[in-house]
Parts: sequence; structure tokens; C-alpha cells
Amino acid sequence: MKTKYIKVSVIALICSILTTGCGDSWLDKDPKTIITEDQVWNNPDLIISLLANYYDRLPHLHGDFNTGGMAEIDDAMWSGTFDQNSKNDFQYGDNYGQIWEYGLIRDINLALENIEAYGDNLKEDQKKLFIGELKFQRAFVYFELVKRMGGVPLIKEQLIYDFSGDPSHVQVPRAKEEEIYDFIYEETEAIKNDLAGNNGSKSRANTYAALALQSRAMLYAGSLAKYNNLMASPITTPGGEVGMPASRANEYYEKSLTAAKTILGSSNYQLYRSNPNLGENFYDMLNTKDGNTEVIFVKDYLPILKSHYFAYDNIVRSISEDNESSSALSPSLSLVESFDYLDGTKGTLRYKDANGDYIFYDNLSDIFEGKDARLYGTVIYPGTTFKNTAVNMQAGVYVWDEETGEYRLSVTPTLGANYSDGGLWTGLDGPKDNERDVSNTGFYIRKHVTDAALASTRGTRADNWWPWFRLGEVYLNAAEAAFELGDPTAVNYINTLRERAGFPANSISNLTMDIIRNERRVELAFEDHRYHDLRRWRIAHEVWNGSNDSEDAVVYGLYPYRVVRPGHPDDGKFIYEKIRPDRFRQPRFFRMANYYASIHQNDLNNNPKLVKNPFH
Amino acid sequence: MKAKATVSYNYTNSEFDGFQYSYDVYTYNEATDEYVRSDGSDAGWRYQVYRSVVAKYGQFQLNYEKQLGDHYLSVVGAYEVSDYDNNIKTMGTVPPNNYLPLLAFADLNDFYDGWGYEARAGYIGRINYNYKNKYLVELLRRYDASYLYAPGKRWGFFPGVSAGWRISEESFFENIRPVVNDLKIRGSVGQTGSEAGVSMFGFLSGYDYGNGNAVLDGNLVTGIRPRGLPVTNLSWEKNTSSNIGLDIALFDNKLTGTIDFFKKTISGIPAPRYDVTLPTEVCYSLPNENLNKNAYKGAEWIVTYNDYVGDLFYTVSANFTYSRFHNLETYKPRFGSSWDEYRNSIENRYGGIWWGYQVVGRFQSQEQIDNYPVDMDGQNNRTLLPGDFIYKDVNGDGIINSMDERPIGYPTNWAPMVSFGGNIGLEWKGIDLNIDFSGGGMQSWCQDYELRNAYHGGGGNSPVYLLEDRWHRADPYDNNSEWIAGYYPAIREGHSGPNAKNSDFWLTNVRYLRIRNLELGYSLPRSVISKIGAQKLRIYGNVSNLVSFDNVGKYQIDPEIEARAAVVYPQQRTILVGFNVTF
Repeated sequence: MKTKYIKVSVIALICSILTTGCGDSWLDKDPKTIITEDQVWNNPDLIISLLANYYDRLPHLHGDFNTGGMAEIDDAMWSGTFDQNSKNDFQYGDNYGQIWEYGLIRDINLALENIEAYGDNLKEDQKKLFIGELKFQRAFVYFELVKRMGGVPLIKEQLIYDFSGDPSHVQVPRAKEEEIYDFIYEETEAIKNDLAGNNGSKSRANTYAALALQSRAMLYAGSLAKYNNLMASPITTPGGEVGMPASRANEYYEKSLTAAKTILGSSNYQLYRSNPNLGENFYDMLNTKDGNTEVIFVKDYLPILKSHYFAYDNIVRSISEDNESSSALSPSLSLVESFDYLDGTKGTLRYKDANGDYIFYDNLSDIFEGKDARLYGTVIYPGTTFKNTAVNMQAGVYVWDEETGEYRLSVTPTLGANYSDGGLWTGLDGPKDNERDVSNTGFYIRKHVTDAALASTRGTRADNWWPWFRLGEVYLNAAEAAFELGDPTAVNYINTLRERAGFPANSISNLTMDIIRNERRVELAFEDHRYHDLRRWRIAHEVWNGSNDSEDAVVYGLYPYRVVRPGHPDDGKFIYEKIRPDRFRQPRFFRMANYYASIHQNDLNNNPKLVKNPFH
Repeated sequence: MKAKATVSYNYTNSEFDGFQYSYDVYTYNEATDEYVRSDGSDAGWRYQVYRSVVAKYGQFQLNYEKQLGDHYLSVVGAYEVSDYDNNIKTMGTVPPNNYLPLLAFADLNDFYDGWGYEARAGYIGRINYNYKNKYLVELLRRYDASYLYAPGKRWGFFPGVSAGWRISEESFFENIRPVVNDLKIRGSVGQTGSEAGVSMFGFLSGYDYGNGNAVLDGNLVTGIRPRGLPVTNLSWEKNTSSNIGLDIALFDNKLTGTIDFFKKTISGIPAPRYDVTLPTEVCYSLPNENLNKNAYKGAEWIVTYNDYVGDLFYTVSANFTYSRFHNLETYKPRFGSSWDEYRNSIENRYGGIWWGYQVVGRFQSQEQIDNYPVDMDGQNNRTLLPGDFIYKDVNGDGIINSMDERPIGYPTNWAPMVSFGGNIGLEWKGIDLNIDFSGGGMQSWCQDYELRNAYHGGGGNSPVYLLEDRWHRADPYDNNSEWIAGYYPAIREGHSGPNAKNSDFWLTNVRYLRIRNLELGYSLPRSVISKIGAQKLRIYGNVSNLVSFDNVGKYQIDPEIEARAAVVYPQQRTILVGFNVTF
């Protein structure tokens, strides 16, 4: 009896386990990391999270602390690890700058559709603000696309394939280059007032960020319309995907100037001028967050939680707080010589006199005396300090040999070693030719390298922000646009900017395009403008002509040497010698094909309506 | 009728705790006779990982068996469930000093909280039948579900059948039975499922939390990111294995052997049905379907002989396996040209083939280089030196480029396609000796980096044989001195110039046989050890990885590695001496 009871109960137990454990319910678990559409669109915090993901993905070429990219133009060379020396030994490939970022565009289009479909509980002005930010992000992405590729498919809503076997209804052809610029103008005009709610913010899009984007985009459009058509053979495609009409140049310059003037007229922004030492002021302009009135829209960072490696990668070698890496970027002599002297003379450094003899300087930094204050804020040169520590730069010694009655240059491979006279031979910070993680040109970068404690360590990293748009650029946009329109007030914008750099008031009386272009180079160095500026002026192929004789296509350095001649008055002075760094193998070579990057073959294969870019 | 239930609950955890201190490095300054801090690290690193895994498993089985005269029948039914729940937390700080190991909130620079799960369920049924143990048949069926696939695609049905025939039991075999004691032929075909092509929650849409972030108005805002199109039409990959084999025993079971031929076909491998290509701007492609097929085919055998000669008992065994991967078919393969098809097609071809150039000779002199009609380096042979490789211009077009590539070897990162081994055992009056061999072939090793480029990477270390046994001038300072030949070409600094092409000079097809284990032992006789009350006492010595007979000796590497510069620890040779005692 009992055994039968046990038998039955065992069978019953087994059956119940089988029925409850069985089937799909065992396989389903609550996903702990996934959020649904209607959860997102009625919760402002989650919408801000979505915007945060998109802000983080805004595309750029040499921006956002991209050390490698900054080493691929004429403002600097790569002096980091040897396995990346290709940055000193390459030509711009057909696909340099290639971008086809439709993933982010689709995500934004989907968000714009869903905020209307699901966002019933949002307040009206909140909804407009979010829609404005999304449209700003989309316009930003399209600007990056049109800058580098020309006209691209203009897609403003989700493309949905109907599984009918014929995809032609989702194949969108490339819009004309001017249509994309017009789209950016229309979008920024439509949203600029809706974004006013963010006018106190520097990291979220606001009215002035939209206007700054508009001012830059319209300036690019204007210069493309003008300079492309001034070429011997303008670069165009029959359908207008590439090639802006010359007749519209002035219209775009007007739009750029209007947007710039609106920003300059607002009381929200002033040129940063908190430090009476104008050189340090230019550095503080990007390094100080509190009370910063210069930046309009930034990509912000926080110590440790969201920080970047720019200081770790580029800090002066002897001042690094970590035991690895340090100086991957060596600014070029041509950049340093672009900074003019405050008395108005051109910035060429005088290291040899008219007879070709070396000039003897008492102090290391004397050769840079009287230069544009922005040089100090951008580049670290011999004889200055960083983080209140003297920079230890000396390439070698210039030794007098009694027997031969001549001087000779002498260097040692050991950084920081002393010469037989007890003084420094080669500095701890070089410069040293053909070496890694020390300057190869005699210059280090100061701009963007923050002096915050432990910023150059891998544990803490750097938290200084990346300026997408700042007031300095708006002055330059206004100056260029006004000059192209023949407006005589153009020179005032340039002069105001130059006053911040230490020049006397009205330092320029006769404004030329070359002056404007040089101002843009020295003001906006290493801020992801140089590559795009040379291209839109259609001079990139002339400046970066691949010739070993060119001062611009080749990156040169200037090495300081200490004079060793005991008993002579020149003993202990310094001379400079220009060198071509050994690691810099190939002059920068920009070809016609690089004005518009090639479209990837996969993208061409997937959409037969796409037209290739010229020269590809 | 029997019922059986097995339930298990498994809890595993792992903890990692790392602390790297900051440190100073000093250099001696002769001039001032003092030590100056010249280098070091100012910041330390502190990191902890906590991981716990709970795995549950249950199997409920019902068993029925019955012997009716010469017939035997057995039926088994079972239900299996398993799941796996994985939690991980990591924390990292910038330690404020080198003394205190406890983590403080203010120092945190890294935090991660993660979770994953797996779950599966299945029904199994099996029927065994045999008649007089002569004719054997088995039918098997599985019905499995996986958590990865969308509801409606979760379950897969996998049947199997096998049959065997013990020929030695047949009446006509009576006369041979004293010699061939046992002979059985068997064959089987069965299917199992594999999961592929999708990850956890692939079938759900929505947004992923914790993807990207931005500092907005001074606060770090964690980002969320749209997940993309859900995967709802994939299901199990099917592996169909079939084999046919033979077991034999001869001479009073002294000689036994088994041989098998097998083939495992994997079908339903996820691939896109690309007949319709969508533009990249749409940002999703058509979802994958279970479309492609590949297979493993091979054979294996093992033979063992054991016998006595007087007091000596010996056993010898050898085994051999050959298993090769074969790509069967992909969905509507397309090629841009007939060369593209020859070079890149995988339709019905062996997998893992190593393509490259063939070296057919070495340039003996500068004259020969200058007059050679084929362009080796793409620069009219300007970079060539005597001793450099002459590549075969397979298509006769006068230039060596990728169109001269042909299959030259086996994959370097797969298990050897042929493996073999053996065992010799001897026992005599308490002494026992056991030797295990194993070896492999049909596997390649590519010689590269430090073993190919002298001073690789700018000043790197080089093996002696690369620097000594090479083509070089008799007097390195005299450009007119004669060239002296060697095995390796003339060295270049940090790279190998025109000899860097992927060729059969640098690819070795490895063959090896290792004595993996050699053990010699002695068990003391009962008479001796009973005095100390022990039942058994054995002393032994064991060497593992004693020696390897292979064709890579000249590279001084272990034959069983993949790393091209051999920058891995080779297998160690261990010598063990010990004793066992049983009381």
C-alpha cells in the first residue's frame, strides 16, 4: 500500500515538474538593459540620454583630440611610436576623409518620427527644444558629409523596404552640393529660436550654436561657389552633385555674415581676455571652463568619468606624469613662422643673418621675442615653461674647435646628458632627430594640452573640452564674408581679433585674402579647420604640392644649440639651425582627387543611383 | 520501469584584485655624484572584478527495458532544462597612495555592472533493440529549444538512427571464430543543433541603456542607443553526422582494432539572401537566414596488440585520425571575374588553404638580377640583392603580383588535420614501462616578425641563425667584395625587402611526433612490503614531453605553436619522481 502510494506520488511529482517547467516560459527572462519606445519618449531624462548618445557620435575629421589626424597636415608631424610613422610618409589617398554616416542620420530621423508618435506627455516647448536639438545634430552630420563628399542623398525620414523584391523605392540619388548647404541653412533657421531654452548651456545646442553652424556652413558654401569656378578646370559633375554655381557665392557670403553678426551682437559671448598676459590668455581660453565667454558649443569631458588622452599623448616629455608615451605631435616650423611679429613684420624666424652666419642669442627664447601672443598659447618653444616647470629643450652644443678654428655641431643620444664642460649637452626634452616620444622639430604643442594635475596619466586622463564652435572663429567668418562682399567693415573684425593677440589697435589697414587666410591658420590651429579651409579655397593642391623644395609641403624643424667656447663672450649663447626631420619622409601631397573623397565601393554597389565623385 | 531525476545547482564565483603602485626611477649623474629622479610613474592602478555564475540543471528520465527470449528492448524518455545566470561587477580607482588597499568612492574611475543569461530546454527519446546481440538498432530523437531565437523559432527537431551487425555471431562465422573473435560493422546517422548568428535578446527592439555618454551642462549623462532591427527569422544550425565503422578482435582478443569513416555536415549557417541589395543609407540590411553549408570529413583507426612472452606482458597501440574541413555551398555565389572565382571561391573546396608565392631559386649574382626578365619587386628589381628569392611567375606575365598566388600550405591556426599517436606498455616482474606518443601533420607555421626581419620593428632582437646563416659580402665595408651564400637572404634593417612576400620559403608544413609521456615504475614485491603493513608500494619516474621528432628544428621552435615569431611559452619538459603506497 505504502509503496504504491510512493510510486504514484513520484509519478505525480515528475508530471508536475514536466508541465510547469516546460515550454517557452523557462527561456524568457526580463531584459535588464533594454528600454522600449514609449518608455523613452515620455521621460525627458531618457530623451536627454538619447541626445547624449548622439552628441557623443557627432562626426569630425581632425577634431575631438585626434592626435593622429593633426599629424597629417602641414601644421605638425608625428613624433610618437615608429609603427605609425606612415603619418610622415604618405600621400592623401583617394578615400582620405571618406565618410558615409547614415547610421546616425537614420537614428536621428527615427527619433524625430517617434517623438511625434509617442511623446504625448511632453510639454510643448520641451518637445520643440528636443526636436531642435535633434535637427541641429542632423544638420551637423550633413555638414560633415557635404564638406568631405560633396552632395549626398538627403534623407529626412526613415527608409522602409517593403520586401517586394524591388528596392528602387529606397534608392535615393545624391542631392546637389548646393541643396545640402541650403538644407543646413533652412534647418538652422527653423530651429534657432526653439533652441533658446539652452542658451545658458555650452554642451547642448542653443540658438548661437545653430547660428555658428550656419555661419561656418554658409562661408564654406560661398567660398566653394567662388573658388571652384575660378579654377582652370572647375571640379563638377553633370548632375551638380559636386560644383556650386558661381552666381550664388554672394548670397551665401551674405547669409554667413548675417549669422556671424547676430552672434557678435549678443551679450552672451565675449572674446576671452581674463589674463593680462595675452600668451597665457590664449592658452587659458580653451583650458579654463569657469567664466569662459568664448566657447559657444563644446564637447565636454569630466575627470576620470569621461576623459581623453590628449595630454597623455602630447605633453612635454620631461613633464609627463606617466612612464609611457608623451610627445606624439611636433608642430612645424612653417606653423611657427605663420605667427607674425607684433610690429607687423612677417613671422620668418631670424636664425641666420644676411651673410648666412648664425645669429647668437643670449637666451633660448629671444628668437621668438615680440611675436604674436597666440604663438605662446599654441606652441611650446625653447626657453618657456609648462605647468610652472621650465621646458628642457636643447638639441646639442655648438663647440668651438681651437685646432681647426671652426665651430661644429655636436649632439648626444642620451637625453639630459651633460657635456664635458659640465653644462647641458642635449636636453631631456630634445629636440632629437629620428626619435619617438620627444619633439623632432624643436616645438611641442601647448594648445589643448591641459595642465590639470594627473591629466597626463592613464588613470586620470584629461578633462578639457573640445571647442566645436567659438567666438574667435565667428570673427574670422565675418571678416572673410565681409571681405568677399566688398564690405569695408571686414578689416575691423580682423583687427579686433588681433588686439586679443597683442597687436596694437587697427594693426591692419590694407586687408587682403592672404592676411585673412593666415589669421585663420594662426587663430584656429589644431582645431580641425586647416584641412577644410585649404580645400574650400582650392589652394590645397598648390600648398601641399608634394615637392621636396616646398616650405609648406615639407615639415621642417628649428633646433637650438648652446655655444661652447670658454673664455669667449659668445660662450653660453644660443644658435638655431633649421633641419628637415629624418622621420618626415614624404612631403604632403594633395591631388585634385582629394577635393572630394571617393565613395566606398560597397555603398556604390548597394545603391546604383549614386554617382561617383570626380577623379575616382 | 525506472524513473530517475537529476537536479544540480552550481554556484561559481571569481574575484580579481589588482594593485599597481606608483614608483620612481633614478639615474646617476656623474658630474654632481647624486641620484636624480629621471623617470617613473606617478599614478597607480587599482582594479577589482567580482563575478558570480549560477547554473541550474535538471533532467527527468523514465526508463523501460525488457528481455523477451532473444529480443531485447529498451525505451528511454527524458526532459532536460538548463540555465545559466551570470553577474559581473568591476570597480577601478586611482589609488591615492601605495599603502591602503581599500577602495574609496571619491577615487573611483571605473565601474561596471553587467548581466547575461542562457537558457535551454529539450525533450529526448531513445529506443534500443537487439536480437541475440547480433543485430542492433537504435533510434534517437531530440527536440531542443534555445533562448536566443525569437518565440516561434526556438524549437528544433533532431533525429538519429544507428545500426550494427555483429558478423562474428553468425553461424557461417563459426569456423573463423577462433581467429577472428569479434567482428562488428556499424553505421549511424544523426543530427544535433548549434546556435549561431544571434546574441542574447537579438529578437527584441528598443534602446540599449548605457551606450555612449556625454557631459551636458557639467553632468555626465549616460546615453541610450537604438537597437536596430530585431532578428526574428533565424533558428538552429543543423549538424548532420554520419559514420560507418568496423570493430575487430583477433587471436584471442590479443589484437583489437577499430576503424571509422565519418562526415559531419553543418547546414543552415546564417547568411544574407543578397538578391536584393538595399542601399547603405537604409542602415539595415536584409536579415540573415539559415542558408549556407559546410562539412568535416575524415577517417580514423586504432589498433592494439597485447600479449605475454613468458613473464613479460606487453601492449602496443597505434591510432590515426584524419579530419578535414570542407566548404560545401553558399547562397548564390557571385564573382567579379574568373580570377576572382578561382582565387576567392569557397564552393566545394577545402577550408583554411594558405595561398602564397612559390620560391623556385635564389639569385646568385647581381648580373643575374640585372638580366632577369621577371619583375620581382614591382620596381624593376631595383631593390634586389644576390641571395634574394626568385618567385615563380605562374601566369607568365613578367611581373610577380597577387595573380601569381597559388595554394602553398595548410592553415596555421587550426588543429593539425592529421594526428596520430601510439602507446607502448611493458610489464615484467613488477617493473612497468609506459611510453605515449602523439604527433600531427597537415598543419603549417608561418615564420614572420622577429624570425624573418632582422632587427624587426627598429632595433628588435634577432635569432642567431638569421644573422649568421645568410647571404653577405665577404667584407661588409667593401662594396666590391664577393658575396657569400647562406640560407637566409641578405638582411635589411627591420624588414625583409622584396623577400617579404608571403611565400613557401617562410611557410613550413609541420610534421612532428612527440614522446609525450614516459613512465618507468617498480612495484615492490608483496613479500617485502607486507613487513611494513602495506598492500602496495610503487616508485616511479615520469618524464613528460621528453623529445619531439619534427621538421622545425632549424627554426628552434616548438612544433605545436601558431605564433609567427614564436613569442609564446613552449611546452615544458617535466620530470617527476614519486611513489605510491596503499595500506
